[in-house]
Amino acid sequence: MKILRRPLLLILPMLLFITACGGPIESFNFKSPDGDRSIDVTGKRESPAGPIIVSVKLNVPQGSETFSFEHQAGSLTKENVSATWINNGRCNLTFKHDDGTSWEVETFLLDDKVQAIKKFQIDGKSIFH
Amino acid sequence: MENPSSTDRRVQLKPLTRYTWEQATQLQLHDYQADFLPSVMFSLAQSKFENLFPYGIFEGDDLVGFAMYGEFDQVCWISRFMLDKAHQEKGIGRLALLQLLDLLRKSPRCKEIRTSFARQNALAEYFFRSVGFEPMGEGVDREIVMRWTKK
Repeated sequence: MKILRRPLLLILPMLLFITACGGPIESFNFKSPDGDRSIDVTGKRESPAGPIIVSVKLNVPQGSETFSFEHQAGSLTKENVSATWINNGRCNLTFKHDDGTSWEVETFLLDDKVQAIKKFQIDGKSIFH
Repeated sequence: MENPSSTDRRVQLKPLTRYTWEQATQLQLHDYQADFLPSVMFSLAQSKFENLFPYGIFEGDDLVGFAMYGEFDQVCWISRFMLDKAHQEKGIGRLALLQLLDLLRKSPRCKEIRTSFARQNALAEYFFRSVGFEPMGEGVDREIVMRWTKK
């Protein structure tokens, strides 16, 4: 039994650490229908129990623009991140939170305007205060 | 919507020309407003490279303000709107803004009209709300983005 207890003592803290760190954080690359523009979504946790800091990079042929915000969810996966391209220069990103609310990020990836507008949504309706 | 042209014919919004753009660069804001907007000079330079259209706000023959909008994928953005500090609080800005909205709502290129401004610029929010803008979200630079809802 002594032999078994030692690995358990090692595994338990590791499991606790992994649990505290939350779920997986994936990276995404969403390409426009024509393939000329893309959006990179990455995330990181600055503290084990803290929110995921999401970074969104809007890539156009002439350059890129990056911005960050807090994603109030335990993970960043295809289950809670999605992209809908309206056309080659416009894309709506959705980041679903664990409590059912979400960030809707409207992006412009045009030659003369690269911008994103972040809207908070409850039950699919935008709220701004 | 109010008819801006019949309200006061002395206030007019006109595209800047080779004869008026230099006057526009002389417009001044109050010190506390200066951080909210880039200079007119910067805006004019920007309009050379982006799909932006600079206008002068005239009271009679005097150029008293500056406005600029852009067209981006059928969304028209009022990206600059300012009155010289000596001509503020006389209702000129409201008349000029109504004229600009009238111009944009008639344009087939503007399916939507938006504006954005620094979060700290509470006066801008009050001003734009008074003609029918509603906040819709936050821009990349944390500025407030508003959409005109009276089309």
